[in-house]
Amino acid sequence: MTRLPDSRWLMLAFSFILLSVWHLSQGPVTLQVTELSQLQKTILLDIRLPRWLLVIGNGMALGLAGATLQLLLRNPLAEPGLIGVSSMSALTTVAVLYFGMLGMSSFLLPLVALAGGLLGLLVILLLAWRQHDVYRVILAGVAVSSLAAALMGLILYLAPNPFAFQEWSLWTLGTLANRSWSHLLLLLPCLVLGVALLASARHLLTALTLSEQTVATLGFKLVSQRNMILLAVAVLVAGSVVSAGIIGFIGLLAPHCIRLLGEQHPQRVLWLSAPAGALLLLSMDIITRVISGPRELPVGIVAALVGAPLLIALLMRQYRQQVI
Amino acid sequence: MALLELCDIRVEGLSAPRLQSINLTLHSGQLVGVIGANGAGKSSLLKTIAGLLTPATGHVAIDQQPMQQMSARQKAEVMAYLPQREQPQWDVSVIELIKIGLLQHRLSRSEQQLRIDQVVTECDLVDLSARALSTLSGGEQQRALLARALVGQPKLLLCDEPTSALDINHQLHTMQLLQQRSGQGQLVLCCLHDLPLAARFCDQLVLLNEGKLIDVGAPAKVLSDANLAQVFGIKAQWFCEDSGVAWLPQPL
Repeated sequence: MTRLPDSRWLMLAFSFILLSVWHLSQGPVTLQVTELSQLQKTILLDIRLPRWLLVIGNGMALGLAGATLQLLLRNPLAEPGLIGVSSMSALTTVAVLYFGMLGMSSFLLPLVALAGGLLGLLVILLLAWRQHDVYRVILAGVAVSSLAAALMGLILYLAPNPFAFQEWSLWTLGTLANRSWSHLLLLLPCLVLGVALLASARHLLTALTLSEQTVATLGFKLVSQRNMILLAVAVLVAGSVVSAGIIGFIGLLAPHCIRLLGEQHPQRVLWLSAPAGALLLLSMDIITRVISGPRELPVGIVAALVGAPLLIALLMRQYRQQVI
Repeated sequence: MALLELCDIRVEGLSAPRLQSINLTLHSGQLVGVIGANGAGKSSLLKTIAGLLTPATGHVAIDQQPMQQMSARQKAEVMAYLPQREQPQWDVSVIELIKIGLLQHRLSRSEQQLRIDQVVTECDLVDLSARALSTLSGGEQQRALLARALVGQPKLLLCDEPTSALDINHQLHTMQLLQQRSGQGQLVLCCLHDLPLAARFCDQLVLLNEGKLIDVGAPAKVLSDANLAQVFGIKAQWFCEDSGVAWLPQPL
């Protein structure tokens, strides 16, 4: 068993603290830590702190969701977008806006997104009902995801004006700009519920090191526990989407980073993917703010632009180590 | 008292039944080999007993209790199943793999550790226990997988070709281990292709052909000229001594 060496733990913790300080101090107004004015306190407490916490929470949710899906589907390429929950969340939100049922500032909008995500999960569960075969889940997820993406594309195409197009497309690109404590309050219950559901079904994720056929003989209620785990993923992803839109790559990248650091046991990969996701999204958000002009880039774009080459680099490093 | 009873089992397949009219009663404390040509239904028989295939007719009972009435956890405590080809998805260590076999068992930590230590020694894995699976040979991995199945100390152990990836030394070691487990009161049911190995170690053989039960009994009875000719299309000369069994098979 290869445990994560302590020096690496310390390095990651140090990086997290350093990046957090950088993240909190980033912005047009310089904060004097020793002597904060009322304005600086307001900026710190009402703008920067909720954004920092939202980044951490979203990173944890996406990291956990990605690791969970990879372990559940026994597929290292699985990521939260695969089961279509995020697409369905974004689709229902944009659809409600398109048909004028709710305004952009409605407090019901996040609930609509959450309901959309759960609807996506329901469709997948109905399609894969009582089947032990994970490929049915993957195929159902791909179908739901593709359909949601196509319908969203149609709605964006039919957007009444460029302003609406721009506003709505942010749901698909993911952004952490202009977020407040209320967004964090939307994410937090989802994060807590998702973690609780995962904790109750964690043994199944460990057992799925072996084939589903073998796991079915190990005493697990495979279908019901699998559905509970999928519900946990849906809740985590929907929480992330309602608070920040669709942010890709973090869920895929976080578990890979943990594995590349030497951890292979499913439980450690699962739980360590939460801080790994937080660290990754923190880095992405800092990069986003550094390279953005007056109008901030969506963090989802930066996550994909930075994440894709990073994933390739990490995999090539792993490949070289295997060859040596 | 019979530990395992199969009554009139029929399992449907795509074009033909995988199993049909299987009636079988087996007792504790035996090592039973399931033999037959490719496609005879050996793996299907084990999967049906393990609950992975649902019979169209008939029922399986373990310890007089029909399988349908047992919870998943009860089944896991009574039996363990080792499939023919198992490729662990994640590169865990040998110990971590073995622990998977105890995830749903209600045991104290000390009891768990005791069982793990015992099975690690039995399966000759002491020096490999901390190693990652990717660093092991195919045979070493197979032993680790067998240890995972053994660690729960099931009354009924189902092994689908447990010696297929092993060298001759570890084939013998594995069969001795299974024999030892049956000697301790477990019923071990394993599919085997190696007939001399089956003849040497098994107390009973179950001969299948095209999904049907052809014969059950002691190896000397089941491996008769007529059965070998009917099922495998061969004739064989057997050389039996206390130290082992050898044969010279020839096509008919």
